[in-house]
Amino acid sequence: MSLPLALVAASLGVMLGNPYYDDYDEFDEPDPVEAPAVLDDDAYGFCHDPEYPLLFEERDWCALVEEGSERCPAFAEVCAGDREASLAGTPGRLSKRTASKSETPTERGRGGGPRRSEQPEPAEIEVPALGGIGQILFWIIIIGAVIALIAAIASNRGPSRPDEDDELPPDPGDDPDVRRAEAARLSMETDVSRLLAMARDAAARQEFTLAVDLGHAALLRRLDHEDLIRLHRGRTNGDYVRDLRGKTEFFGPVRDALRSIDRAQFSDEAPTRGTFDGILSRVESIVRKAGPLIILLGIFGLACDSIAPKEYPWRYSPSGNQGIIDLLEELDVTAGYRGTSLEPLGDEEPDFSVDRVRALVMLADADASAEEWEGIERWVSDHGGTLIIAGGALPPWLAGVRYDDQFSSKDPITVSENATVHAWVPQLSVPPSRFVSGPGWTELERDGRRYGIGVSRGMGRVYVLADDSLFTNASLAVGDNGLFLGQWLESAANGGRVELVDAWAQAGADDPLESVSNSHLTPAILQLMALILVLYLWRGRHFGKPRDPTPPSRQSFVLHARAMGQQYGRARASHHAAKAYSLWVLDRLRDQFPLAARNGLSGIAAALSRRSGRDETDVMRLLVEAHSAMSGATDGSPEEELKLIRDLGRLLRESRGNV
Amino acid sequence: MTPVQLHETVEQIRTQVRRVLLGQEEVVDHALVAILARGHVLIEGVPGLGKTLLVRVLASVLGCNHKRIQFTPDLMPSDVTGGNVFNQRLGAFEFIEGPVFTQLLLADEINRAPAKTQSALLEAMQEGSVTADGQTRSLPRPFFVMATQNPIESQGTYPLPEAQLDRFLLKIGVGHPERDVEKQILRNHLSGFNPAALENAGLERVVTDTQIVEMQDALGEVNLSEDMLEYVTDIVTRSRAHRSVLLGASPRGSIALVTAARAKAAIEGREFVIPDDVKSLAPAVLRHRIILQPDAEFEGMSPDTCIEEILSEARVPKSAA
Repeated sequence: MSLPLALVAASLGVMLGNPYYDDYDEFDEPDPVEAPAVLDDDAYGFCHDPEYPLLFEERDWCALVEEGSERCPAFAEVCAGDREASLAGTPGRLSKRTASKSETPTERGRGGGPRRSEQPEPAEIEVPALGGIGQILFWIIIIGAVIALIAAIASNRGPSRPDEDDELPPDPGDDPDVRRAEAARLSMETDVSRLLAMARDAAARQEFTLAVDLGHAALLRRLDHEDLIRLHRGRTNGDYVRDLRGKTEFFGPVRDALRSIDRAQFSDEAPTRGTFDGILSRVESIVRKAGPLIILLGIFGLACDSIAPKEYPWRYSPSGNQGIIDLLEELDVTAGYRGTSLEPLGDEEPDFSVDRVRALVMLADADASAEEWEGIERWVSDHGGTLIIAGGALPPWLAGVRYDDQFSSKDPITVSENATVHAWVPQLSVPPSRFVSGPGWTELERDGRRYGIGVSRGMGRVYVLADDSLFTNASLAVGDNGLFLGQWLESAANGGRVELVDAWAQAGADDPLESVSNSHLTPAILQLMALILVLYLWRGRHFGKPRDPTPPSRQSFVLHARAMGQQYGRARASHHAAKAYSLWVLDRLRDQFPLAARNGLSGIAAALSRRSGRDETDVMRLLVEAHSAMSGATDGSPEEELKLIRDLGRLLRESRGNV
Repeated sequence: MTPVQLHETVEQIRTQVRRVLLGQEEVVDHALVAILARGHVLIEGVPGLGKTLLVRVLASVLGCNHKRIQFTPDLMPSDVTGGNVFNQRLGAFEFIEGPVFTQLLLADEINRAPAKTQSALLEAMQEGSVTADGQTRSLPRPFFVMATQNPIESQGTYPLPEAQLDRFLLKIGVGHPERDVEKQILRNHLSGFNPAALENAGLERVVTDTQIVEMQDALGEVNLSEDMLEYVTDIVTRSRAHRSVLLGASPRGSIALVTAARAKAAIEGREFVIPDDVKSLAPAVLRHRIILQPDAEFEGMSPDTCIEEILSEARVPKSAA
């Protein structure tokens, strides 16, 4: 450790009584040779895959990459290849400098999907940094799922396990209940090899009827798995054979096998060992025939998988930050992304555990609410935390510090003589950057201006860097960046934890209730609980019991009558209705006035007029219209025909007839 | 007669019928099923599809006599069954047999006669006998009625009563032939085939009426397992409980389904019934025994779609699904 840094740290620790700085006396001299080789991991495709596509902004690093570098051998080739990833496939490539806060990241690193590459995504499961209750619930769910999975596998394997102590399955015989139970058992097992094994077991127990049924099930399941047939409880063997029409390699053998099975199952001769063996050989030959199909499909699938472009996750890309975490872990410093709110940082009780956050690196897209900034301020001032703001939003309490929009050249960054973190002279290189200005001492310089400044605040320190280029994976491939970062962050961690903060930090929740609240699901869950309560009150505790579905009720007769009327209307049936009704009315009137009817319509009109008191001319006109309608001589509109029907109905009522 | 012999005989019958009647294999098969099961067939189809020709061909191939009745609105029951006529020479009443006294009877457009005349066939179809003036006379064996009705015309027709419909073992719909079949029919016509002169078609008589009765008796040897019995019962029971059905199949329908399935198994050369036999014949056996709810009919549901639903819901014995 350099003398000035040790002196500063020691003096600060002593003067402020900060216990976290006690270890600064033992701060080792940095190893100037090489930083941990984190980029050796194949996951960092840009260091190993010459075909790796770079983003436009990532090409800025190319001017700094040394050809033939052992640390990141393919980076120079990647730069020379001048490939650019398509934006559509890799939304994560959006510039983090241009990503607005309103954009919701879909993957850590201000982006969306991973970029395409030939390298598979490393299988790694990261436990999210949940709160205490969240952690407990998380592990309960995981353990419960594993137990349920094991139980399901065990129960599924149960029937095929030979166990001499097991009772033999009952002979179906003529008992329909036993037969139904047997059918249900058969329908539940879908694994072909297990069905065949069960069939052989049954045959060994001399239960040839069951053995044939199992062989039958194995055959159909195999064909169903290959989509050669559609298995359904209402379909017969004949239906399955018809499904195979056109598939000549299966049609004949399956038809013959099913015929044998039909004979064994439905004839009055009980199947024998010979019957079963014959059926089994037919079934196995078909199953074997179908097997290569599956293998071919599998090979095809694998081939497709191998030729399909593989994808790198964003965090392993040159713009990602996974390298910083890996670097710190190589140095035995616990590190990770911040997944929960920053606000509680200032309220935590000081301790010396390795999980205690001692350094916070706020990347360019990180932001915090006013409450969180207050929490961070307490954490820095009271707990001696180290806050590194790498080009991101500045806290309101850091007065006077700001970013300058003027950009630098490609010149390397040098460590200031006043720097608190290093006394040696590393060669730091990042793409052109902004500058920082404000109160505080100069930590890093570029082009004679300030790239990074340091500010003491209470027991801790705040560093503001012009951007977060230093904290990217690409940075580790250039100059002494990795060595510098390792030493700086290791010292800042001081035996604790380093956390990177990006846009995802606010996406996490400290407990399940907060998670529900953040997702705005509280009203929905409250409604759901209210619904459950109503169901409970309505049905009692058995409301969830499966029930037969209520048979669909018939539509009311009114609906049918209305629909029928509409159909009549569409068919323009008013003409027919008027014709039929006129005929019926005239017949009724002739029946009522038989004597008058001898004189034709005029006689009926005269008789009706006398009885009803209506004008005879009016009645006669109506009867003539009815006669015309009856004979089909008129072609009135539907309204006119409806009016005629109504008038005739009224006339009939007035004649005291029965309508 | 063993099932194998029966199958070979039926194959010969099919071959002979196919020489004259093209594109009606299903109808022929159903007719053979009905003949073997001692049942009768109701064919619904437009005129000109070869229904009369089918009866004549079958009569020729089966070695049976046949008669045809054209049902009309003024047809009287005695026109079907026959009746006692006073014989002046003998000075006594003499029974004159009606056209029902035959082995293969084609009742053409049966729904054009009123129910009273249609019912004249009831006893003949069910009992195989005719009662006139208190005297019962047996009909010749085998006795097979093939009735047709036209589905298009509704005016001047009398729908068959349920009791009459239930007497028919199968109801078959006959459709128009395929394009290629139709072309072949035209070729045959151009080459001089005359349906009215079947004797010139060179049809061979395959069996005698006695052998047909033997074939009918052989059905008793066809095994129907308990599973199959359960399947048939399930189908018929579901036909009564279906939401679209007003009146489901009667027990006579169950018996008809079992009988027809046994006949089909025998025709296929099997001495046992399989689910496919039942399922393939269920529509023909049940479609005229099911009365749909009026609203279901209004919704466009037909007996065939209803039976299709029933068959898809009924669990096939020994099903692996």
